[in-house]
Amino acid sequence: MWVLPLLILATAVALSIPLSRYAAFVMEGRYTAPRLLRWFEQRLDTGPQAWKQYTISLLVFNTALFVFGFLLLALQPIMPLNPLGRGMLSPTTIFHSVISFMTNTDLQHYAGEQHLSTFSQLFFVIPNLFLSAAVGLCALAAIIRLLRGQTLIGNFFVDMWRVVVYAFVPIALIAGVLFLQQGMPMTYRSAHEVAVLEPGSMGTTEQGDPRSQTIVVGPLAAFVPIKMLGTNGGGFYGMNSAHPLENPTAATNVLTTLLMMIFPMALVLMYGRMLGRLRHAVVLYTVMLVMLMSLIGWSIYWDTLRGNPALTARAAGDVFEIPGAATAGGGTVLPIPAATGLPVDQHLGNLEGKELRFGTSAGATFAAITTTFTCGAVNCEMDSLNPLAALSPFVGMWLNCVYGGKGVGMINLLVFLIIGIFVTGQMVGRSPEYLGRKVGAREMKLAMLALLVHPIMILGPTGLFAATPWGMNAVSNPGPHGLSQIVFQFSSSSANNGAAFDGLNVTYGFNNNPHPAPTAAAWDIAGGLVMLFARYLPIIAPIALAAGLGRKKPSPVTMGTLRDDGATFGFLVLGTIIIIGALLFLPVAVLGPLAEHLGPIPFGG
Amino acid sequence: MNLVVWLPAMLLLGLGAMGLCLAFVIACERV
Repeated sequence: MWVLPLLILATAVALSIPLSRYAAFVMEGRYTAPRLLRWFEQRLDTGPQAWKQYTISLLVFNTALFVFGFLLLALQPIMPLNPLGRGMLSPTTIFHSVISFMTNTDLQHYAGEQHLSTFSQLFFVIPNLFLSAAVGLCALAAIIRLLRGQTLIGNFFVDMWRVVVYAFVPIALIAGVLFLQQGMPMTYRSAHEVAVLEPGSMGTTEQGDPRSQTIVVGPLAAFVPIKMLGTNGGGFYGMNSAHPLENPTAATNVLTTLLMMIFPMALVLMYGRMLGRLRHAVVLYTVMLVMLMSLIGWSIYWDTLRGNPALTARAAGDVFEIPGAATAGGGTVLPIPAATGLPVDQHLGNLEGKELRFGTSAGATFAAITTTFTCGAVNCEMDSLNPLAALSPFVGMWLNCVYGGKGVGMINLLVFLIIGIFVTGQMVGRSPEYLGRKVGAREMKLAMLALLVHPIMILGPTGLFAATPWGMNAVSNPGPHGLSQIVFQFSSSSANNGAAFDGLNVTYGFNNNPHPAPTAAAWDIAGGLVMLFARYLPIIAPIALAAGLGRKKPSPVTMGTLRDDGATFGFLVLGTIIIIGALLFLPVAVLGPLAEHLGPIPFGG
Repeated sequence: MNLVVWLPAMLLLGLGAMGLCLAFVIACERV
């Protein structure tokens, strides 16, 4: 049970060290590419940029991605490679999906195998998986150069080229070959029609003949490597990494888990290498590792080592009354499911929604990792985790700096770090400094702006949707679990994570769908805006912060300087993250997963 | 959904939101 997470952690740490060296090598421009690739690189080079030009280039590039993606999805019905005749998604779903993939969130209000053609998967999804993943890494590189005191920080388009072509493509190619060997499909064919073993189990035609089964396939071995490596997480199939063609074996499960971890881990060390302060980066890396191990251990303890109490604690046929004013009698009466009274053997833990072919603790491990690394792929049903186990994914997304996404996780930690240093400086009566430069009012204003976007984008819409029919008509469970579904959706959107708790009825589907989810449009629009603002504002503010900080003259190190490469500094960072995280999100954790855990069975216990 | 209304509306909403992010860059410079 513990072997799998320990193996994954140890391997990821081991791989992140050489990868950090290579990432720094590429981002410093020391890699000499073959002549053809160099020619392309030179064509993209519009000259060195100051921070504002770099940031505006980033935004303009993303705006172009938005327009391209929007047009491509809107034109899906008339595009080639669409033998299954996929129609046009509703405009709000197009809006949500385009922003979702452009912002590296990949939260899907559709099911890939039902709603997208092979053309859309190839030319809308896959390019976005590469490009959106590179944006965060470029933003981090810009911040590092600014903190070094540079005023011209390279060229955004050249950085994008280097990340995609010299870093992502080679690793994705190697992973793709390994996935092919493990049985992952790689084809331009859209579907296979197969006769099922039990004729008639798929129903019968009007003539009474047994129906065949349509199995959607596609270029999965090209899709999945960058889906995981870029911490994208959007699935080719609606079932994501629980689908036997998207994650065929226990080996692919381990490999996909490693792929989503290696870049965010390596980039913390790259930060230290490029700044020439590797020991400082090792402290930050260790703080993140401690938090990651805690979150994985927590989810395994509460999910793999514990059964689901709702399955065994009450007799079948019993009824359960939810207090409240939902009915005239003052409560809602629900029958306990018939399965409740069955003698379920739960010695392997909570098995609801798990893929045991990956291992007993694979679901809980993956759930913690995919949310801390802002990947969002899922190999188990998050909605079925025991309430306290579900707290681990929540915390990973709320803090958003336990390695986090590529580049942006380190940027988020930098914001926590600046705030921690400032508060500590005030407490001991010394001028707060980071990298020898004084942290002043401007830096604090920008750090607070960057920090507060995330909780505002989660808690604001959650409150609105929980209090209106938009949310109440979409949740599939009453009480705290229903609130958890709403909070998770906005946490996942704001963290640019993309994991789905499921249970929310938010799919509109094709525009001509006669029975869409009644509040799908509201969820599409709100989710799209949350993803967009929560992506770019916390990138822009830290770049501006680093620009100001980097311009300041470094102070000489004295006896009174707070060392940033020791255990004390590590505890300072850890304490800042825990205190700020608790202040921001503890109330909603109490109303959601904690209330569910402490509440009566079947929803709690 | 009426495509004539919703399709351009969603496109403009996305472009407008990106425009706000651009304005945020200018605002950050002035902080």
